Amino acid sequence: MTRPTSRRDPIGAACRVAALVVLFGFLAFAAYLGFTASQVVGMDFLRGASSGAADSAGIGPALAGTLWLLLLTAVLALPIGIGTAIYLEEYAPRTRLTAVIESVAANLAGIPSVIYGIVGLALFVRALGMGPTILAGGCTLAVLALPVVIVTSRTAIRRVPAGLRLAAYGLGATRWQVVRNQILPVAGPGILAGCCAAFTRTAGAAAPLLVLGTATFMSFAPQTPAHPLTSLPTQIFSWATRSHEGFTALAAGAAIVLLLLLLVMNLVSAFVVRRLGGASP
Amino acid sequence: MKRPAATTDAPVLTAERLSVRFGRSIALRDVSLAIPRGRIVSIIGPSGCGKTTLLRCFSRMNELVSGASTSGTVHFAGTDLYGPDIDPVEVRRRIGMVFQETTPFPKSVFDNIAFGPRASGFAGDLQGLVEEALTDAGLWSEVADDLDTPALELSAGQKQRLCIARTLALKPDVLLLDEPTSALDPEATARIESIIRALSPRYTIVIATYNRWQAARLSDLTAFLDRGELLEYGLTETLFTNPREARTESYLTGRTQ
Amino acid sequence: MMPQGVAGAGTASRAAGERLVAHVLLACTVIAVVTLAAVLAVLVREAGLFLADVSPWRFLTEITWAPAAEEARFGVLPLVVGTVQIAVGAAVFALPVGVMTAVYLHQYASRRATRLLSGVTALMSSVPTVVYGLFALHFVTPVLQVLWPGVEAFNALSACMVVGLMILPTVTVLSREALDSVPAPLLNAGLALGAPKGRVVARILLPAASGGILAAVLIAMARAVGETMIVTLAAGNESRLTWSPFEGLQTLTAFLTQLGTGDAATGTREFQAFFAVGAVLFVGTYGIHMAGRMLVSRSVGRRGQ
Repeated sequence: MTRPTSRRDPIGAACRVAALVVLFGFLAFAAYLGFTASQVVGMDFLRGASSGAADSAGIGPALAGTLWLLLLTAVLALPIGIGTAIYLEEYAPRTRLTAVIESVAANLAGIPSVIYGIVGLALFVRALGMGPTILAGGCTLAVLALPVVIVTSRTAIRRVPAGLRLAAYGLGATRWQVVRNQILPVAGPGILAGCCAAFTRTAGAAAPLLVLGTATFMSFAPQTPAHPLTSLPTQIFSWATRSHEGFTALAAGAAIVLLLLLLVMNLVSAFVVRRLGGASP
Repeated sequence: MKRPAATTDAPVLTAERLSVRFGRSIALRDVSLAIPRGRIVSIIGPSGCGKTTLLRCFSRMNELVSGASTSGTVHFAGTDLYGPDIDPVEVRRRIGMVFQETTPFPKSVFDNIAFGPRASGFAGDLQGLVEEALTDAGLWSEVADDLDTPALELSAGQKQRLCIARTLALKPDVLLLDEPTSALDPEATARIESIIRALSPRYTIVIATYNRWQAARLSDLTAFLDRGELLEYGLTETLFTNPREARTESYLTGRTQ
Repeated sequence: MMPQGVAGAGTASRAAGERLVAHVLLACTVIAVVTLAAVLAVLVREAGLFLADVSPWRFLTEITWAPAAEEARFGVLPLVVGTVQIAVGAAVFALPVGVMTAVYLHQYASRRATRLLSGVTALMSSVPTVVYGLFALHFVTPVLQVLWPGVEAFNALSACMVVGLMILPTVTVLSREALDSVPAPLLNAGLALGAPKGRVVARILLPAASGGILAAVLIAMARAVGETMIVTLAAGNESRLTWSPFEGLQTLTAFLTQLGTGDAATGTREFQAFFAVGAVLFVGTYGIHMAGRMLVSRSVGRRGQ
């Protein structure tokens, strides 16, 4: 587009301004975060335990807690979610019941995560007696991720051309052979991308964990899921609520670490998706 | 030259009072017909008449569609295909089907052909089986150099021959072809037709086609379906030159298109 | 017996494996369905117990929310109003900017600008909201306080602006999808008639995509309604009815986070109150989502005719 045109086009000019506003908003956010965090970055910050004193605190326990939570979510939500999606799409007859399950899952995928927190508190922390532990947090996040995993996996499976299914069945393949050899290779990248979206959502979730009750001071990294609940997002929250400037810097540093973790997760997933997609043109 | 076809030949497939419904709509109504061994049988009729549904009955494909229900019987070499202890997967391995939509798997040519034998636990000479199937489908000379070529890179006609070869690799007794040339240009169509002719003594072949002239060119016997009912079935020559039913005649002369 | 083709041995063991896989997959489905049903059951049961105790009428009409007070008051209205204020306020910031950015990407942007902005929106949408909350409380609020000295440490304005920033990628991406689904010949017809680009955008593109854009807005609003960490950090957690954007307020979601810090025991009315609020939040976001989905299917249906 040439300059004279845009001068005669007030709507185009307004749109350009809007795009600049988006860019500016993002840059302000990134610059604030980077500048604030620059005061704490160092190995001590990564390893150190959370402490009452701002200048000696670190994110060691919180980072370990988040990794534990991710592991638990993956172990609990992925097999069950993907298995459910395969069953509903390829095995179950289309009935009113499957339609209801589908719409419930789709709607649960969209409700605020904090609701999962109060349910998780009633269910895992109290009714099942897990207490505010990493295990209870992992179970809650797995329930939060489950509908997302089911919905995105079903969508990916449904995108597989019907002709592939028919052709494979026509060649005398069993259901599982069709799923393993035809459906999963084609739907795999989509399923993976969906799972990654679910993980981005759970890894950054602070609200549901906050509701479960989190330990804000922890002197050593959790070794087992029975350890009191701690995570990067809740640690960021707890530091953010302190007015002392040193804690704000800690929160920003922890935020950068969390963002890097999410970025690495997304990059790895994008890389694998591309590899899978490239392997079967 | 076509051998004289007699409907008294030993039938390999026999459908009796076959009806298929999808939910509330009836796709096939009380169809009875016998497919004689080693012959080419065409099923013709206006679109939506139930050609594909009838073809799919022979390999129990309809039950993969949610809401489909089949009544009546289909006997294959003395066995009721819809009997209680018959595994539909086994049926599909014996009665091969090539679908209207050409769908090579997104894999290599070799893996496409080997898919069926592998799925049914074939333990013999896979290389030889693949070569034989590709040769029978008239594709061997074109792909022999590189069986690792992705199947999706083949031309439309080659893809369809690949799909036929894929089914032949199962060494089925019957070959069901659903509109095998509907998406192809005349040259590729002629190619497929000559392959079908060459396969004919060894395989029993059933073709569903909207193309009357293809039925006339290829088949020993022709069945005319209309709105799910079998109106007429007999020697192709008789059916085309001297149809019994008025509706058959008007279809063949193109008055109901 | 049917004649054998290429089938090899081991058919029986394969059939057993096939059954096993089917059972495992069914078990997954049962676990998933039971889990999701349990979520709904807990929510409905506790909210039901609460409403059996406190009448729905009082819950929905009283104007004071003080569940932990000695003389507890359970009027959910301040929380609902606070939630709507934040969502509408966020929309005021995000909608014009988001939709116009989508138009920019669709009509005006060079390939490089498109890549840049797409990358930025993708990054923005993956930022955890607690990080946005930090930004709101420790950057936006201090800046606002410099501009207007009356701004309190916890205020709705900062929360609205940053929630708006959070939903910007949603508005932009979904609006762009709506614009992309407008058939190109429609636009070309307008341009071919000699209409200037801005006129084509305002008179043809935006009206044709309006259904999809409205759906995008609703989905973004649902996210704003459900947003928890930004409002908890920036707007505080004190329930009150106020129209001043410089004061703090409490939303449905922010209240729910207090279950973790409070000590409401299972079975008490105070504990059940959290689930009643959760149910209101659930119904609200569910309703907005359904409306959005209906709009999408309606606009798609119209185009299909």
